[in-house]
Amino acid sequence: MDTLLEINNLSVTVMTGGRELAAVRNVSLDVAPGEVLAIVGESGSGKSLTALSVLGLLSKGVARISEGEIIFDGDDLAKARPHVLDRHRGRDIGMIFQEPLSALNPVLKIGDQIIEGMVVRNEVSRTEARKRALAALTDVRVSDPERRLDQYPHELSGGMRQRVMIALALISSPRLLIADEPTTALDVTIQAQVLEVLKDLQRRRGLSMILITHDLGIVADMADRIAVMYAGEIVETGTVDDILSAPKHPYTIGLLSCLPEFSPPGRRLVVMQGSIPALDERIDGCRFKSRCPRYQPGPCDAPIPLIDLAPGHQCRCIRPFRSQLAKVHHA
Amino acid sequence: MLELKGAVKRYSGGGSIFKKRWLTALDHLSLTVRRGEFFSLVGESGCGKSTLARIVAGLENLDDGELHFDGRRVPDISIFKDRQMRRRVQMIFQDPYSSLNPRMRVGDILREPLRSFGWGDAPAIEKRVVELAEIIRFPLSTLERYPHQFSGGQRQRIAIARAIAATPEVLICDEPVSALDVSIKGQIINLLIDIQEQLGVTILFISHDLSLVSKISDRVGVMYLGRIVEIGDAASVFSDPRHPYTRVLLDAIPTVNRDGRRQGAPLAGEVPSPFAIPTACRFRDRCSLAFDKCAIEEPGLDAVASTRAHYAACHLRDRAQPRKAAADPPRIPGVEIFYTNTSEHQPSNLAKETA
Repeated sequence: MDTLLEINNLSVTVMTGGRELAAVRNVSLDVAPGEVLAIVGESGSGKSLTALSVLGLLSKGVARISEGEIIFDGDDLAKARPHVLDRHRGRDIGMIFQEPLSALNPVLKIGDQIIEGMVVRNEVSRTEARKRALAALTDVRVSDPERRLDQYPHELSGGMRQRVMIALALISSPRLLIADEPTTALDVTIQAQVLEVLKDLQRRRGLSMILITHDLGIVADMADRIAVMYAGEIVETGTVDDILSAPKHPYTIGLLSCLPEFSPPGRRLVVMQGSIPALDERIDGCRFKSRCPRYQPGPCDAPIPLIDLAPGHQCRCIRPFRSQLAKVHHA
Repeated sequence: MLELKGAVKRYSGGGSIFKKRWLTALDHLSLTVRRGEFFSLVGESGCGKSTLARIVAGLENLDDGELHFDGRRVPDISIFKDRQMRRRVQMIFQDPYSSLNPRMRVGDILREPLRSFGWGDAPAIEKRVVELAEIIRFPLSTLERYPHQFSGGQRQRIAIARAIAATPEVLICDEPVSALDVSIKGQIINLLIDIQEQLGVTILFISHDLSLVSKISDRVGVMYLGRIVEIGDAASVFSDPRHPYTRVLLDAIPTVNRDGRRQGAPLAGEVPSPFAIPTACRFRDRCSLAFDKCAIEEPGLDAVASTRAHYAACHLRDRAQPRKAAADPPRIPGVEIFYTNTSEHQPSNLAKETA
């Protein structure tokens, strides 16, 4: 298959209390041109660290790539020198963060922030850059774009700011967009608007995208493929239909069953006992075993590889669920 | 149990020293919460739901209107002085990282409200602390620890134990699970339902998560720009919403179930500024059904015909438009392995210790 980005065996460590602990463990992923890959997981799953690694944005002295390669356009971004990274970052690869207010420069006008990159790279004249900025804002359906160019980030609402972030990330026509919880801070109606804009642009431009989120509802709407992460590892990966209609890993099933729409009748919700293991916790075998209702002493205590269940559907479980059909039985 | 009549709350925000600008957080809002029910208040940020919580909790005064508690009017300032009043209404906040004193041990966090509300002598207090630890399923040894040694979900349980320590009658929960991971939310929600069902505590639950609210609430109120626009039994409001705003809120929820995916286009525009609330119907600028009457006459929060206790502030409230039911969502194979855990969370001693 044609791939745009290929992550092989990526491991990331973080420094805490003077010790170096593994936070991302041997993650391998690929993204094809025009494909939307969602990385789903709860806090501490390593999903954001994986994304930040791609852009070389891990904070120095806090986190580092300890192993693996990130191949984009023939360059290994994991070992790339800064000038090689800069060739891709903000050009071929754009990024949207969760909190646009902290990602935008508060003392620069919107227009100047969008123009900055183009001018720094000496691509076009200022007038031409401004024209393009205006077109970019129109493209993300910012209301009254002409006026917005001369406003500061604090004058905009959360939804407008996130649109500006998208315009900013897309101004250099990247081939890959990384969106880290792009709508988590927004209200549902605004979230729906922003997702609509994002989806429309992705389709129109044939953009590849890595969407990082904890919200399975958004994933169902946006993604082609899903990778589910738990405690630093990928536990299951497959197409949207594989994962949401016929999940095989108990953690994936657990995540789905925690959603109100899949809870048992009655008012109470499903509870996954326990919590994600601490980084320094030593675990032999399955990292989910302490919370898994299907845990078996012995086989689950040995290292478990990602097992191919079907083409493109992999699961890190020795007892994956067998059922194939989504509507197997109704209570 | 709780009643707000024509409640008004304004905040000054900016403007010049000669002419202040006033932000209307609550605009002649009326609301009744019944004893023992699980009442949820939903709405987007800035609609005034947190302001309402703070007023009911006695953390702020009303600028106009009345607050009644258990049939008695609560005079403004007195709620701050009246310890009994304070004891009867308690609150849980969104962020369990900032709502617990980091320098206090968990045991002391639980003892504090008991002491300040005069629970009894030291042995009585200790006995109650042990009961509370059991309710939130904390081993007694953990009471010696500090909040930072616990996860977000555990901290929220500590906050709940502290709130119910002195047997309040109303528990106000302001977005208690929105900072928590999906797999943890259930613990807190189920604990709150236990507290409501088994201790008979009235719960005022504030949230923006409609799919959660639709599952757990008895009644629900939808807020928009400082006012309730729809209120009624949760089942009725969610299956047959009569205010267009409620409908778009429901349609905007991203869902995993492909059959029940978005119905209709997302709502255009943003919430108008609370500095300048539109005249007549406050939703008309964004409403797809708006007609001339909406710009002239403000719709009252009136009963929907042929329903019981379902009210909507819309001129078209009697036009039934039941939502296409998300036809029996496909069951995820294997989901049942986690179902047993639902009943496991039953604090066994809850019923007996109702004071």
